[in-house]
Amino acid sequence: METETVNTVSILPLYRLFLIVLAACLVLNFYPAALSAEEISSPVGSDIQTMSQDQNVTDNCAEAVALLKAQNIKISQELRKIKREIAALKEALSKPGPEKIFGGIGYIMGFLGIIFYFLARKQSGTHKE
Amino acid sequence: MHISDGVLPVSITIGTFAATIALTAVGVRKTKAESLPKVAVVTSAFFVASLIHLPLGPTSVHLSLPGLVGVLLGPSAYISIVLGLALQSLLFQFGGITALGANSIMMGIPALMVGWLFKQLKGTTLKSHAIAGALCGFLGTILSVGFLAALLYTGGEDFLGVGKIAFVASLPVSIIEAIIANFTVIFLFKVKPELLK
Repeated sequence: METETVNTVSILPLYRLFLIVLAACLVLNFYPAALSAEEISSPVGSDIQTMSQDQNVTDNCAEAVALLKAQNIKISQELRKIKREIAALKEALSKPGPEKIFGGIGYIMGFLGIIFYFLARKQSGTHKE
Repeated sequence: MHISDGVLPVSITIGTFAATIALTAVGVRKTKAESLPKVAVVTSAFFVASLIHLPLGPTSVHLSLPGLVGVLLGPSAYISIVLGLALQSLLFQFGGITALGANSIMMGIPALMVGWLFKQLKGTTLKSHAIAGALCGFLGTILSVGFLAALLYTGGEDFLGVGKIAFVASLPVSIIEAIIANFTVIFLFKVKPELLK
């Protein structure tokens, strides 16, 4: 009974470390997919909508032009942000994930395993012709 | 250090494919059934090693381990390299499918050379094994750089220019691979020396 407790105690830090590493991996794995607080509070295009609601107040032509210019700058900023995000996404997608890595190892083991199986059959003489 | 599709001229592509098929056939002939599990494990390690990126200044380089494959597999190394590179190009898009022959030559022939060299140098003691392992790990990458420059030369590149750039870029990787091969050989010599025969 006592030895069992000793064993549990000695394994526990390792198990905790494993959990911490696993949690860190999960966080890192999902990090790019999560939206930042700033993005949630002001979604894309919200500024422009509030700007165009003010538009009916303006009568002056010059004011309208200035407003349009400001809107254009905002839109191009948003577009640049989206382009950056797309580029980051593309890079993340081009990286092989764990499924491809383990799949590849599986292919190698499986392929050589099949060869090994046939060679072993030939050598042990279990196949009768 | 992978050659992409369409970089090399057609004649070289076909020639390297023919050479790859011939060398693979020789490798299959020389591989004993008992060593197949070893080939499988080393191939998997080679396949995965290219995903380990090492940050190096503004860019990053990745391991390729031709030296270690040669040391561990000897004459069977070419099968391992071809299989690993084929799956890398299919699953990871590293190097093109049509350039598979050239890529195999680039990594496989250094592996075979290093395997032969290791057999000559390893001696019987742990020390000689360790030194031979480190040297072979280092030479594997350096030789593959030489082959890369030679292959790109056929595609119209300047041999010395490409060679110099690739050599400088791969020098840190070669040193890391020498250390890896050194540790692997020391470990195997202590734990399971039959694997190094």
